[in-house]
Amino acid sequence: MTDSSTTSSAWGEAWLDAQRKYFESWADLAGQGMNPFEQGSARPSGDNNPFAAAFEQWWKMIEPNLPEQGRAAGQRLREMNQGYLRLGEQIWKLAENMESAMKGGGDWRELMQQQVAKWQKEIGDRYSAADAWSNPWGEPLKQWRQLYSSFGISPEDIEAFIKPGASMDGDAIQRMMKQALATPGLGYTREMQEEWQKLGALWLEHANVLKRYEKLLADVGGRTAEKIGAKLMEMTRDGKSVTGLREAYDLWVECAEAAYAELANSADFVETQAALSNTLMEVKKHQQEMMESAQRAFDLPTRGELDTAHARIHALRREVRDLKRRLEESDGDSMQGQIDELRAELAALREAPATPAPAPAPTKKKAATRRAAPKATTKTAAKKED
Amino acid sequence: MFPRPDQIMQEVMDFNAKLANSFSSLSKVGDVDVGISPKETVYQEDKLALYRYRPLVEKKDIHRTPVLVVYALVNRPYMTDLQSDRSMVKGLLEQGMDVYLIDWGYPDRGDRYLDLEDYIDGYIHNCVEHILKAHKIPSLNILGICQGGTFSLCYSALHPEKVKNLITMVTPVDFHTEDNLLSKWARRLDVDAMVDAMGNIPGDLLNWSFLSMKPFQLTGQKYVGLLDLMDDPKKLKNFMRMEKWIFDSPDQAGEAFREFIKYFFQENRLVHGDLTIAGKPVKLSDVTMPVYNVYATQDHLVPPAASLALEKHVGTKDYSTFDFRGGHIGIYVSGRAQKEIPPAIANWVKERD
Repeated sequence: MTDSSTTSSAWGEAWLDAQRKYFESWADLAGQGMNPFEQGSARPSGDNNPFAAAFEQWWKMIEPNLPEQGRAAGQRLREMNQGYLRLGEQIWKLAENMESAMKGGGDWRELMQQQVAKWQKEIGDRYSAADAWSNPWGEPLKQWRQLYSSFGISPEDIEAFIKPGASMDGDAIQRMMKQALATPGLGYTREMQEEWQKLGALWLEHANVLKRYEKLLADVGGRTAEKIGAKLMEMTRDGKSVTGLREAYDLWVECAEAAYAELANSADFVETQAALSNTLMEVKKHQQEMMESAQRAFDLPTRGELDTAHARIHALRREVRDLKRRLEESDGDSMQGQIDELRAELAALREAPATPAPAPAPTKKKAATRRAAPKATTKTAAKKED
Repeated sequence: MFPRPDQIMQEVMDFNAKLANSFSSLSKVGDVDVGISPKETVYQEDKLALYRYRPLVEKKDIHRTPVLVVYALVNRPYMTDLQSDRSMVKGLLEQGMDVYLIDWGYPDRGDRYLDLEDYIDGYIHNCVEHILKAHKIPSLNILGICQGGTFSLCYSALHPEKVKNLITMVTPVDFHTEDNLLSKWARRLDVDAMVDAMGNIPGDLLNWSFLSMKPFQLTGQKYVGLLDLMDDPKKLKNFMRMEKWIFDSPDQAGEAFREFIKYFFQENRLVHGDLTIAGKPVKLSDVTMPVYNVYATQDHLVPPAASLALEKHVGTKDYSTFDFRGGHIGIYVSGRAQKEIPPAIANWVKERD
């Protein structure tokens, strides 16, 4: 049997070997003044980014061999690799464009501004493509997609249907869907039809908010590029430079966070992000209601019934707790009352002259005897204390 | 200005080499253990467990009054005792404190109707009563952390006679300060729809909110940085412990969540003085015992202003603060926190014990 760490090591070496080959190809291309990332370059793979494509292949092979403990972290690293490679590609292009522009002469500040504007546009275009692979700017959106897919039936299909770039014009589809969803129901199944129509309308509403949210996030890319441009200008003015890809990556994160923070605090974003959750909750609530109707039709227990039971148990427990507390308090009060009474009696006895008590009446004999007992005990105790 | 093409290629290759080797390192990590200080469960109720930690000093050096640590419902309390060299609990024990801690457990749908009254006037109160009886003392010290600090303030206002000294740590008090991003987001949420639709609130949803506050750092840069730790098994394991804690997020009991979001985030009742719990008014002016407010100067979840507002509202005349130069998480786990926080708390308490 193969040890998983040995297997990982072997795969690691295989990957390094593959990289060496790519590196050699890249070095050749760079030597010929070509960008290996660029479409149409003579490169070893047909994909836009040879490293990325090779890495994906390698990941597919290694993933099943990873132990459960490291699989999630491995997945995150894989995603990071994608982002890192994309950044390498962008920095490469920026550097290349700057270099060729500088060769043509002119003010570097102006050239830098032009290049940053170009970069901004490119990022915007990339964002419109809006898939996880080509878009390094969409982390919150990506996380949200992952999250809501676990909340039940997902409106993602509708979202895909109406988003820009879909086969039909988005507005036309929306109009068509709204029309269909407003068609009145007839006959025996009219109520059910209305329920489905309402669900469709709620889905549509959520998909529209998601589109708005996506659009707001898209601006982060452009604003980030703007901030990076300003930062680079400042660095150049101070005679500093970006020394490597990692430094460029850290710079990008810093600028992206700053751009995102501006957006995240804006009223528009706050409103849209809340609407993202609120509309999804309305979808989920309606789905549940429909589910319960179906369950009732089959005489199955429902979530609502279970909630009722839980609510009643909770109310009963609260009542029991309150009663217990009241009982403890009243017990305490009554005991405290008895103690106070006894203390007062003891004080009175201590102050009383030491003459024998008159003989009790026969009918009260028992009670008198009972009352006499504490007197003796107290005296003994008092003696002991002395 | 920019690295040369061959430099970029070399860096990409180095990065990938590290990445390739990282899978081998990850496969050797093994079990990620957390919560290291020896303890015993002294009280249980529903899913709650009350722990008492074993002392690390001689009996004669133990503080007379025990301290009850009240952690937030969000995430797990083992953050305070993550590993041997990153443990606030261990630090407090070394200072001679007698430490109790509430572990809230993982609520499920059966706990959906638990509300703030259950948590504050129910669970916390019962834990306090248990400790007071066990020690035969009339009052104890409370150390409330984050949301647990807010709960502790409420409890102290409701039962001031039972709290000798109160320490609040990274605790939100004024939820409407300008720099509170989380609160801005929460204010527009339809929390009724959330609880009605989901019952309990999934821990993953809260995590999404927290990660969304700094998405590029917390879901990206952090993992790029991880590659630099891959050659060091100890550092890698530390990273995995933190990772485990971050994503170990219990679901939130629906009604308690609804009330917390409405009363605190949306209506800011604690500072407005119109909060009631268990039918009793919660007035910060009733917090008359000594208060030590520990906050982090770079806290992005609970901004300093949100914590420092306490001074204006609290009833005590013995109020002091401790500012830690770091963030919301660093205050428990950074090396500097281990050196600074437990001695500061212990000394402050000792002067008042």
